[in-house]
Amino acid sequence: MLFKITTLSLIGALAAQADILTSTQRFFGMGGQAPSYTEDEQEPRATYGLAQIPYSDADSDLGIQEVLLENTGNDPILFYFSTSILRTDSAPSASAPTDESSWISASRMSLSWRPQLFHGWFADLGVGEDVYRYDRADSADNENFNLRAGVYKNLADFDDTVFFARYEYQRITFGSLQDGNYNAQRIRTGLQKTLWAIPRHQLTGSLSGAYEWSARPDTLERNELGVDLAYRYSIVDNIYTVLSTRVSSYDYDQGDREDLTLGAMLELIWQISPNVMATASVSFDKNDSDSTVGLAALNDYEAWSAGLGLGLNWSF
Amino acid sequence: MVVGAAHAAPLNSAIMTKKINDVRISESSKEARTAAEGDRLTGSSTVLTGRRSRAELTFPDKTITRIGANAAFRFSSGSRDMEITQGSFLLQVPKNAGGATIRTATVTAAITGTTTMMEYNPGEWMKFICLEGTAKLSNTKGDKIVVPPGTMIVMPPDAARFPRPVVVNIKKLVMTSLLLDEASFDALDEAALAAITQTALDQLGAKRDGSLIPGYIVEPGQLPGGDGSPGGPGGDRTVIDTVVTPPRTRPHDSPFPD
Repeated sequence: MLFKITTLSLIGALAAQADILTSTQRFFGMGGQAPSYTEDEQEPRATYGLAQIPYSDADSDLGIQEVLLENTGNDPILFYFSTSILRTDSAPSASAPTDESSWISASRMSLSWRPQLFHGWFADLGVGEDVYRYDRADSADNENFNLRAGVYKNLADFDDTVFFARYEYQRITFGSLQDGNYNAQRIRTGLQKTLWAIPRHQLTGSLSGAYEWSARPDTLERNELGVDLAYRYSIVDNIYTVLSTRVSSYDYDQGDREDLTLGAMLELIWQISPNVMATASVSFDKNDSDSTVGLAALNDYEAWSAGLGLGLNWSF
Repeated sequence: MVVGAAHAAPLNSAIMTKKINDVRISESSKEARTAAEGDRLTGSSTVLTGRRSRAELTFPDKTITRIGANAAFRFSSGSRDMEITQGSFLLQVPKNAGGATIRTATVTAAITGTTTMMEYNPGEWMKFICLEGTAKLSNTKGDKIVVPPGTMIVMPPDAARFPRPVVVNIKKLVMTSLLLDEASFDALDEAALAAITQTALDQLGAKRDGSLIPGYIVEPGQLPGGDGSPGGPGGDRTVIDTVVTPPRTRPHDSPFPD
């Protein structure tokens, strides 16, 4: 062989050697019809936001065509806004002892900037605010403010594994931006890897740990170990699905409390234009906490949610 | 329009050095016959491959052509022209040979001392990958472009103009291409391999210093559906429940102590 095949690339290599790059496309009924691009659209950004060469009948013969984006040194600031309407069967209640179903209005606004620093290191700076509103009068309307400042680097010698480390500040308020009901500062670090990427299919995973050194109230100071997996399947060039799951283990500093949290989401995303997307999602969230008072569990929950959303982004 | 092949010795014959599964040869007006390794192709010959089938032709000047599945590839002796009407192929022309011209209905590629791969499927896509060396493409509408090593062109075959070449990960391509699979084919010419390896090493260096970024990388720590914040669509429930929610009862627990 020309090169040593690394373990993490083996799956992709086997996929091609087994001649499935072509046959998988046929299995899914994607006959390879090229869209009618105008001249200005002929640059191969075939799927918005995912720099990927469009699949074609001869992909097994040609091999996996992974685009390497040229860093032009132009580091734009990204602005993102999304809003969605969801229905959940378990909304947290500020007064009732049990959760009940509710509509949720969820909005997010964020700014991020990732300029290159030196030798392949990039800065990762961002600030964002989520606003959640429930239709039930006694539900816990809340705002979640996040700020992060860190670095990341693509480890090219480790099969393009991405290392990241950042400082995070989180603040949660309940109906008022003035009163901080919860805040925390932590350092998060981890690795992220595209485990499998063939035309139309992408599996990405990450492992991260977060050390928290201050939280208010003190009882919520905790450390976290989290695992993420996300599988993306592009149905056509601008419509794709993402099945993602996150498992986190929280170890609280006080009260011997340990939580295990699971989140899973299936999204259908329509990239209407490079700046506009529409989403439909179904998600399941569950928290299993060993924190109890007698037989009453303070922090266990299970919630199914589903809804529709719209996202906008600009760079400048 | 086509340079490099003009003053070189023509290719008069080719030997089928590899035949994998269903490969047929159609010569002039004769009916297509099943090919065999060692067959000599002269005159005007078309090589047809079926599903999961591949073939390799070797010319006297060591020029190598590997033809992918579901392809129709024509070679005319007495010239250095090759024509593909559909499918994919790899073409490796030694540095001191006279180059070659690859023709399709809409795009022509002129190469000298180069290793390239190409797919042409009318009504679908035209892909052209330069593994080492440099290639020049022209189309029937008068547009021209130079394709440097480690880059590829992808476009509808009848596009009026060529898009800008994009950098493609040569290491990953070589590891996964069936036309470069050493279980099926012999290794390429050593000089070509060295040049391809150098292209891959250049890309590795560019990835190390951040001037090339793999397109598949998503935002670090910001996986779809997981932004490092637990809880789901209603907010960070592990925090909210503790801060504002009164004690709740497990659904399957008795509300009364034992």
